[in-house]
Amino acid sequence: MSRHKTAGLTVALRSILVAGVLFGNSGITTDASASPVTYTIFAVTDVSLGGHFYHNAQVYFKFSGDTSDIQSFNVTSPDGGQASGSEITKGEASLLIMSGGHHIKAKFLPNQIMISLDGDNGGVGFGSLTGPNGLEPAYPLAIVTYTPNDLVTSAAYSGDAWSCIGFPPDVSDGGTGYCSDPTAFPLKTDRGDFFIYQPYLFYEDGSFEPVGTLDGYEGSINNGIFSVLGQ
Amino acid sequence: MKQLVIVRIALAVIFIITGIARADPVVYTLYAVTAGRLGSQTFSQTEVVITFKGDTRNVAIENESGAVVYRNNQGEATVTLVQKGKKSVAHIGKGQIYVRYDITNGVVGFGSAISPTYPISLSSDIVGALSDIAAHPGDAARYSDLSGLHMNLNETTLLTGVISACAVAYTYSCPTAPTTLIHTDKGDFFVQDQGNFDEGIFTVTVGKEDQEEDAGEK
Repeated sequence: MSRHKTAGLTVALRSILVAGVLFGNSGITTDASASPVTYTIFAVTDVSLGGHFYHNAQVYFKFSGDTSDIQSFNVTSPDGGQASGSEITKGEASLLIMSGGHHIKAKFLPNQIMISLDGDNGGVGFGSLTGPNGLEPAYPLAIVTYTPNDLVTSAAYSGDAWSCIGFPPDVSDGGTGYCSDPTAFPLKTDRGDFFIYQPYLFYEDGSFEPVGTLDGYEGSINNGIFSVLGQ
Repeated sequence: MKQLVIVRIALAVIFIITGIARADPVVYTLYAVTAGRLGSQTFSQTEVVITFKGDTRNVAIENESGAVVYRNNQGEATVTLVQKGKKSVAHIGKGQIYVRYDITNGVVGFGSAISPTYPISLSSDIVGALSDIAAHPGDAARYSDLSGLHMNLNETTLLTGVISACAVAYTYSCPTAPTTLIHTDKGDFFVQDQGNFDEGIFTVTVGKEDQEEDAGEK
């Protein structure tokens, strides 16, 4: 997978999803089948819930929806990048934090969490309708991985874990080189505001991106596991 | 003479207390997505979790051909398959696998009589970064602060890496399953990675462990 292709297409994905979610973009089609589907993603990372900080906690996200609400898209961004994949915004999302022998569960308030799959570029995970542009495909948690099949077939995938507001961060693709501080973008739960951080990073040496910035492919050295529990 | 006996008893008590203080329960867990077989059940694109419960007092440091290697050979191990939200747990036979962390080459995981890196090991990512920094301290600037992570099997930490789950030499991918299998109470077990550069997560948890089963459905 090309780093730059990934970044460009993520920009395209972000644009089309914002349009589709907010304005019912006609470029998005709806899959016809209808059956329950559940998505989970897991990583060990730093989070904060209701003012409590948890370091290197086991963090599980869960999203329950219906396959009839999965929408597909195939778009071209202004810079010429191609993107196609699937997304679902209608469903219930929850969270489990396991840390120091404690288990903390919370439910996300509606209309915040979405699942998206960038089939062209190999990215899948839990995005959110937040951030400075109103949509973040890699926040709270997504993985960069080889191309998943779809958002229907039961399977698990592993990859580099990103919790990044401003993904992709690549300067060469118009990013700032960094992920934004999530403090200004709390995700609302029934147990207070939730934030997730990205403590384990690898910085560029100037070969492809400016020294000290993040590359959207290899910048994260943490990992996650995403699962589809469907048919 | 009496004083000498008292001193010896005192030293023995201190030794015992010190020994107990250094003996903590520890759980090593590796999460990965891979393929293989457990008993009659073949699986692919499946989350596999291998857990090894032991004690930190059994962690040994060895020199393997110039590489510094931490090992913990004594413990109880299980393998869990997570498929369609359901878990299948098998208990791995005693002495079948051990925990191994080669800090010189940056490889952590579970070894066996089949191979020191089989059934599954991780390299690169955080595992590689820590070994890189240990060998070349100046490279620390290439990473975020990793000083809270530990390069041993005695302290709670997180390690990540690309998985290797292959008992034979790689070609493009892992060409064959092993001829010698790992025995469990649900039948023989093997894993064989699919050449997808799957990523894995390895955790070391010292002391009170998380009671995952009590958490209910994830």
